[in-house]
Amino acid sequence: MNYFINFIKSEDHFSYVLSSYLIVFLIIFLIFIFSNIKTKRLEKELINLSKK
Amino acid sequence: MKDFFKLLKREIRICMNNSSIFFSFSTFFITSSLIFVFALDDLTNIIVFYKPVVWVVLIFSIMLVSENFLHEDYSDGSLKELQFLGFSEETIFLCKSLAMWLIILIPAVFLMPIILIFFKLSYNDVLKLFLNIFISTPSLTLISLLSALFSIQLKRNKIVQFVIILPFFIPIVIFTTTSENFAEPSKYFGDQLLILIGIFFITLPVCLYAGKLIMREINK
Amino acid sequence: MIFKLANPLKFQKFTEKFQPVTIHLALFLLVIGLFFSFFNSPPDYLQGETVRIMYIHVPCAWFSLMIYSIIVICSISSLVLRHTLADLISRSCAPIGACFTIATLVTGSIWGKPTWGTWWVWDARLTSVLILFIIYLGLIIINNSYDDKSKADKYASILAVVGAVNLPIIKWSVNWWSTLHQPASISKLSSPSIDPSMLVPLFIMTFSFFFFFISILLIRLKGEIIQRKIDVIKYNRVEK
Repeated sequence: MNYFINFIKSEDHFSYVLSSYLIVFLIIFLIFIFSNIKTKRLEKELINLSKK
Repeated sequence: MKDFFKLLKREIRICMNNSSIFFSFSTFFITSSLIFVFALDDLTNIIVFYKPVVWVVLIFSIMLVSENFLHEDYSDGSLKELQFLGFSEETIFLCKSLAMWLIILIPAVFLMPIILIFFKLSYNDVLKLFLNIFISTPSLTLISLLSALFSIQLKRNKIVQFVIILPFFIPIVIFTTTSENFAEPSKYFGDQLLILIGIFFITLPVCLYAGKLIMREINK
Repeated sequence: MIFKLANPLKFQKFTEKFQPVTIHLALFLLVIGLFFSFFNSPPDYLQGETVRIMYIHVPCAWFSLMIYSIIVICSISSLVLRHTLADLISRSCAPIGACFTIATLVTGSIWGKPTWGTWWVWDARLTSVLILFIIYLGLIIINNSYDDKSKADKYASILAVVGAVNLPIIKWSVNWWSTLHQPASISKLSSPSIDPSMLVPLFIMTFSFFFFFISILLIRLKGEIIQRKIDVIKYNRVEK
């Protein structure tokens, strides 16, 4: 816990570390969501096509 | 071997008949270097900029001209016909690149005096530039013909050709442009050329093999 | 096992079962990894708190290389064995690899600002990762710019193999080029050894990222298989 408190207190470095973590998670989250959306869309299209 | 010379003769004859290729190549080379010169701010120190300008313009002009060597053959079906006649894909690719090198790039060396005047180079610099161009252009030709093969079936989005193949020019550009940055130029210049020759011998089989695969895919 | 899964239909069933497991595992490991990296690892005595960037930067860099090697292996097997699934895997790997590479570049430059004092240096490592990113972009573009999917796959696999031959040359030449331009004073990354308290979060994060990668890959693969099915259905309708 001490480590974490020291980390939050380190003003300058805190923003660097936090922003890099956020950016990586954002990138992974975005590719995950986009892949999911694309697959869902394709699934719908397949169902529509096989109905006809 | 006989096939090879037959094919080479054909390619050279086609190029000779179509002399506008060389004319447009040299015009493009000179005008685009002029554009670079106009974009420079500090003309007093112009000699510093000659390497990036010459190499970037050279690479782009080679890539643009390489398409001419394949597109006509592809569109009138003679690429398929040549394969059908029993010429191997490697021979076709090698002949095309050799013809391109002989017809376009060797004469292009004679454009260098113009660069000499533009950038106020010394005779020694031009000699080195000449040697570098002479040795590195075979690899450049092979790679750009490969990129032209990649994009030959694309009707739109021709810019793909540039995006996919530019990373492969990096080693050649590095070794051609940094030749004189060493403390002892006379000692290292030869090594530079040897490395470029080595790169050529790596590029040659890789490009021939990849070219064969792509040509087979094109004519399926 | 592998040959069984090489059938796209069986693979799709396997995907549906396996995908939720991987995403849960990834999230679980991520929570543990975050706990270890923020609460249970000491700051570096040289770099201070910024060393915590390492726990996401290094896994991203590993995966950017690993995914490229997966693409190359799949490309070779698709060129030699002509298997469809290999094409599908390399096609769906390319965007994920590009994402990991851009994450590596961004976190690296954020890490570089406090440690080196600048966002970007023309160091050999950084430059070669940038070139890797450009090659990924080329693969993605070539995958999407042909109307005929099988042709695009063939071209992309040729490009990936040529790139694999050329990458060591590029890496070597860039290395040579950057040592020419500047003295090697910045490679702080090659510190002699690493403390176990830092190794634990690093490995947990790596495994977490691995499961994220697998899960995204499975989703994309499912999408690609469905896309092929749609293409076949449409083609058959046109034929009729």
